[in-house]
Amino acid sequence: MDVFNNWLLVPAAAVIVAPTCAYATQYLTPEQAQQAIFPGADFTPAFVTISDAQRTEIERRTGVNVRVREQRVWRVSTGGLFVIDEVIGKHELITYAVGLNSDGGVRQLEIMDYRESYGYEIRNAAWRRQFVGKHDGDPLKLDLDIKNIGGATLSCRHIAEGVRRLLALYDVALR
Amino acid sequence: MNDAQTVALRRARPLLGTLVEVTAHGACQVQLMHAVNAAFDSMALVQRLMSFHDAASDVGRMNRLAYRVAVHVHPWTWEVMRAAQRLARASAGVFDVTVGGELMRLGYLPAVVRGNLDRRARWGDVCLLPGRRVRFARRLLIDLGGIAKGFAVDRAVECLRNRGASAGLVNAGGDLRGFGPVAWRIHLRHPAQPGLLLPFADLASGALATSAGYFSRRERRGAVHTSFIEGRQRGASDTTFSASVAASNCMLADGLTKLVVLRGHRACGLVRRLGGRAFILQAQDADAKPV
Repeated sequence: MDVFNNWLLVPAAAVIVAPTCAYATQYLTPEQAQQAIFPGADFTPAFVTISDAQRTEIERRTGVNVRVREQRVWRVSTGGLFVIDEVIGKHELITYAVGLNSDGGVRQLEIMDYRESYGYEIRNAAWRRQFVGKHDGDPLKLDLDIKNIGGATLSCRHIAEGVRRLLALYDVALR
Repeated sequence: MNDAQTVALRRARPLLGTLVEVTAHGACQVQLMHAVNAAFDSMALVQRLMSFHDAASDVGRMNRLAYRVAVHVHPWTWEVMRAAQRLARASAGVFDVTVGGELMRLGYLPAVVRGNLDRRARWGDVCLLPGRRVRFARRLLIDLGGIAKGFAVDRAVECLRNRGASAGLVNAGGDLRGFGPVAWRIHLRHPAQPGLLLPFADLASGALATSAGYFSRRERRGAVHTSFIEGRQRGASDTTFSASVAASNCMLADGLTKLVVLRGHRACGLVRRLGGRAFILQAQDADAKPV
């Protein structure tokens, strides 16, 4: 392994070197997401309950399963719709907000929450010790601090599917 | 800098096939919001120009047409193509963007063209002509996935700086770059247990790119492989370690990680000569089991 480059990187080993086994970040609250996508607008809840027929139609059009019947939708005073949706992958749960223009086109998409969960338990104490800081007694606690991960995030394919599902919902129920 | 007057924004959007995070610090919330939006817009432009999937992108047009006619490309695409060719030459062809056909055959990329590709095609068959035009000497497919994400991060950082952010970090699925008087703590995923995050370093100003097979590993005909293709023999890497490279810009760091993934420790000298520092995280010590 190469040495650290002192002008660029400072090794984290000097601080507490403990692995954490879950990752979660909240980027925006619902109100912040509303103002990020439609600055200055007012929002009126217009929540939608998807009927069996609508569900079948959305699934037929998109090939994406409709898992949740309640869809959180707001009408925007300046025109358009604001929708909060969730997608679930094998290891991740993502909450995101989509702004739709009055013609049904996507105006903007913002991730609100990103959570990963693997459910791995680290059994090997010897392996675990090499990452444990000298003064840290609880190396594997669930740490939900904001993190910058060097290393791939999971695929965002599910978000693309979620948006397809929402656009079909717009066509069958919100237009 | 007075902390009381500094505001911070952190946003994420799906782009470039991954989740892109932009963090910016500055004096004015509204100005920062514009800066962050512009940073996302510049990365969206990189995606439109260099997506393999999109037939209308520069890459899509090159893959369809450059075997028959010279294809004129955007200045950004040109910059990435030039960097890719430089890296191919320096690595004697280990890094090679003409592996699109192999990635397609392995199922990592969609089948975008019909007709036979020339399996002998290599990086030397990509000709960069005057006037930002590209011509292929053999029927081949390029994929800029190994370097364009880093380039997008560089463009986003440039945007944040030009629009008044005092510090910032852009992270496109592990290709990241920071600037400003902030120590950005970076965690790496454990190569065998990607759900585990290991504190790795504090990044001041510069880029760190990481490549690993944990999310692309697949089994095919009894052999395990990842989406990393060695340019000369065209074998898919079965790497179990993760490779990180620190460099002054993210495009360089991104490209150099591919050399480390493909060549391991043997690439470290070359990486250093080209301006990067390589780090390898081995999986062998871990025997954590999924429960």
